[in-house]
Amino acid sequence: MDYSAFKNEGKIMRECVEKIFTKDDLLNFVEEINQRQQLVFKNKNGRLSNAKFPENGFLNDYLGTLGEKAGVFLETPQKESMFLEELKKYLLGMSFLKLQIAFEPSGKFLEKISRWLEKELGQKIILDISVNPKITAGAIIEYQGKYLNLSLGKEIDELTLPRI
Amino acid sequence: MVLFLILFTGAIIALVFIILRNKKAGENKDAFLKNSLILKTSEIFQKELEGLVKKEMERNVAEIREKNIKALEAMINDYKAKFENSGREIESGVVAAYKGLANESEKIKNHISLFLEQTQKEMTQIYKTGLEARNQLSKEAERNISTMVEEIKKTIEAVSKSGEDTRNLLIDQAKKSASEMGQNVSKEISSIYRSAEEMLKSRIIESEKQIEDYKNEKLRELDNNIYKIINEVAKSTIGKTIDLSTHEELVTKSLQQAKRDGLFSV
Repeated sequence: MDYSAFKNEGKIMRECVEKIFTKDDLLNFVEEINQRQQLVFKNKNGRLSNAKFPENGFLNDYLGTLGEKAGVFLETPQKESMFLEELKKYLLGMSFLKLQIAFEPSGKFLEKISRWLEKELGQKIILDISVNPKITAGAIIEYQGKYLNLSLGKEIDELTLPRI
Repeated sequence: MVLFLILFTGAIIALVFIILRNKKAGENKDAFLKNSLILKTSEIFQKELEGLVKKEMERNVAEIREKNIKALEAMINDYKAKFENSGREIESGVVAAYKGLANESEKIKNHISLFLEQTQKEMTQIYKTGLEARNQLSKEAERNISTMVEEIKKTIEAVSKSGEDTRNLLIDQAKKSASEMGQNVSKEISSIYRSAEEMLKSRIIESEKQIEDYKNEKLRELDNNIYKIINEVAKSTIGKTIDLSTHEELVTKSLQQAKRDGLFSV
């Protein structure tokens, strides 16, 4: 990606996804960016930095300080728009890991495994989580076309269903 | 009709007579005029003359008419006499003819009587001959019939005897056949029975096998259902008994295992 238009573009992008762990988080973030773009363009002298944003949401956590960090939002509205477009592209181009588990995970647990994966793989990985109690425990993992069933349900099947 | 003819003929004759007479008178008159002296007369004289002539003419005509009537009467009387004679002749002729005819008729009658008599004689003879022939034939027929009846009786007796023999023969044969048939039927039944028994046995074996298969299949289905239930109960029970931290630990271990298995390597 070409972030040369901005100062510290790559770092800013990474910081933007700092608290993004799951696919749902990412899609919500993209949707939030779209809504904020619309709000800015409805205002004649629209500037992202001047826009009144909802209190909740990811952008409030980042963008308030990102502009200052990157200095982009102090420049032209065009640069602000370009930055948001590039951010969306960056988000949608990230790698996903499908993870099927038997319980409803906490945010803390998701952050933990996300960071573990980032550390192990050397890049940010977005988790595509689905809950399926039938697997009993453990996980079924899919990554870049590969599949691995490491669930307890599979072991129970092997114990009971081979006779069928 | 005859009277009319007579009158008509008389009238014609009278007319001819008158014409001839007038002609003769005319000739006399012309000769008189040719040879007489013609004198001039006065009108009165002429009228008197004409009246005189007229009278004379009328007298002459009446005279002629009378003469004619007389002549006619004479002719009529003459013809009448002739006719009467003729009638008498005819009558006598007819009588003669009738007599002749009567004689002829008598002759014919005699001939017919004779003929009838002869015919009757011949018919009587024929009848007599026919009667004799009939009697003879009747006797012959009776003889023939009695002969035939005898023969028929003999034939019936023969046929009857033959029929009885045949019946006895048939009965014997039927008995024999029935006996043979009975034996064959018995053999056949025995064969059928054996065949049916074998078939039944094979059916029983087959049915037993099917029942056994069915039973095994059902048992297998039952087992499978039991395993499925055990499987589901085990999964559900174990899943519920595992606490959250253990779940998280197992997921973490799964990820670590995946890393070891090279799932994340490019």
